[in-house]
Amino acid sequence: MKVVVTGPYGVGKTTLIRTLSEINVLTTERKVSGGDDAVEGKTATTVAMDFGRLTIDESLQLYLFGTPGQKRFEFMWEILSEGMLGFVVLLDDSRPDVHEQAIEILDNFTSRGEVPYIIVINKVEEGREDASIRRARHFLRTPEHIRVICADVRDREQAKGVLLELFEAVRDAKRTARTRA
Amino acid sequence: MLAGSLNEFALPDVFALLASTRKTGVLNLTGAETDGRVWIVGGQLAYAVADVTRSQLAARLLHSGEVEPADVAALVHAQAAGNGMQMSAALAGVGVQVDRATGLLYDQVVDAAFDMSRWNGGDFAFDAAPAGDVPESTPTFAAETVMSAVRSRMTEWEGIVATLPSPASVLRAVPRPPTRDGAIQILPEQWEVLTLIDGIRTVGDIIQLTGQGQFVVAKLLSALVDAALVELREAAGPLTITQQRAAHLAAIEQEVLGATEPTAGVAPQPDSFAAAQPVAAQPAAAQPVAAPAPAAADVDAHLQAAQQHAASLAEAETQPETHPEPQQEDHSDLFAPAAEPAAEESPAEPETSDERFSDEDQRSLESILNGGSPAPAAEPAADSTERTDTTAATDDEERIRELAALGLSLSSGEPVRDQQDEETPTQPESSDSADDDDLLSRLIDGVKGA
Repeated sequence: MKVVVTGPYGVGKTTLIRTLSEINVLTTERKVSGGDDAVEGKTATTVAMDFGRLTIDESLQLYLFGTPGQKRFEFMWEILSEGMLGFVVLLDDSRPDVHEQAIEILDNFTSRGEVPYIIVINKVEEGREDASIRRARHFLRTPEHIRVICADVRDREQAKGVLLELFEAVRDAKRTARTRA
Repeated sequence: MLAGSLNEFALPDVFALLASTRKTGVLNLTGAETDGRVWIVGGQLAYAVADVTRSQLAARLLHSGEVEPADVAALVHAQAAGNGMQMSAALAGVGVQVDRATGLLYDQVVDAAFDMSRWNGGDFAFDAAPAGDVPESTPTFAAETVMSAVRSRMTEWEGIVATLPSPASVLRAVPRPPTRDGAIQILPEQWEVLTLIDGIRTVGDIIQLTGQGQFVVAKLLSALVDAALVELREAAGPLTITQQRAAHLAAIEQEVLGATEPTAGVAPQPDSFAAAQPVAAQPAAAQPVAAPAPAAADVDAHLQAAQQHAASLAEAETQPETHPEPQQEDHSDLFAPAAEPAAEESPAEPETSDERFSDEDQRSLESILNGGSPAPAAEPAADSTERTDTTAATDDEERIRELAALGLSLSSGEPVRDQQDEETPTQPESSDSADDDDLLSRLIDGVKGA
């Protein structure tokens, strides 16, 4: 099974996968070269993908793929999204300026078909969760049935909560499809 | 380049990654004893070997009689120097039908993946290659399908190892079968390995000679032991004619692939299957994985050994009258002329009518040893086919006679089971089937417990 974590540059996608993965995450990173994409404190960026694994049981493993955030690696998005169970769009609440990039990424992924997804907001100040969710929904023009949550992706329990929320979204989508049928 | 340690990043993970990114190229694996290689096309597996210095597929086809000895050089060359993606074309070139070739390639990929999955660690490195270099007709197999077959084998393997603890084990057919009031029925594939059990060869020898991989052969042998038709012995003995055939292939492997063992069946075997490496393999640590290049002294030694062996083959063909007479109930086609008598079964004469080692083969071998490309078959295809049919019919008759001598009969009620039928490659699981309720429940429970 495959889950994709996507989102703008520097929002914490690699961190989320590292928090969840039981193996050393294979990351193809390069030093940040500066320019408009530069993020304070970030010295490297993913240029191809992140790859992690979580064993569910003896016969089922969950593979976690992180997309490169920069648009010039857009070709990897299509490759990585093939056959995915669902995807997570990660945002950084401290950097609303990159929410526009998230819209572009989201449009790209949703154009490939009706694949379940959730939106996760990282780095949210305590007590501002509701406001952050409302702002994210507004920026991304998120439909009401799409789940939007806040999580500190460095925390394993909260990271697991991200996956559980995605699985619930997949279940919702399944039920909806049955109802339509 | 994608590279890392198999301890950190196991083979299924590497395959999953390459599948998800639809990579094309060569995955080189370095184990403690051998180096393996997997050819990847669009994220799927096209060909694999657990020991780059061996052509297990060529051994298999040579043993089954599906190709002539003169043809195996083409298969070994196809494997050499990263040309594994050309293997299906090579198989077609030696007359193997497309369906059969696909089945053989799948078996080979699973065999190699199984062997490499049992390595204790190692390293991997993936070299991407342009997809345009791959023939469109190359069959490929989903990594998940292959690894699913490997997992099934792993489950069975513990029971097999309990019966056959080591590739160094020597087997023999029991003098008196347990069933005395009726015929013993065995499957044709069991018969195929039974004919190689002579109280001399090790399990590792038989695996290598059949070219069908550790799991398949060990499973067949284990079943024969469990049925009390075969029992374990202790000592190994002299060279057989079938081992000479393998030596013919080994000479080509040494030259083309850099194999280091001169003759099948005489090398020390691993002590245990538990820590097994591909049988009779030597480390190739000093050789670059992508282009095996033995040291000059090694090359000289290999060439000398191969030439000496070729000369002995020629001598065996031209002087059949000097060999001892066959004994009444021995496996006359299995023993070498110069072999010393074993404790219980005496080596007998070689296959004096064996057309598989002809002057043509000798020329082909010499051509390879001299650095030339393998000589094409001199005879027209139709003649070659006719000769193969005749040889196969003769072999069948010999087998039936040997079977009768042993008090056994081939099972006529059981259809010949094609391994391909058992492990038919399937398409990867679609994401549609993944989101059913059961699977989601497993995922949720799994993540909660992680």
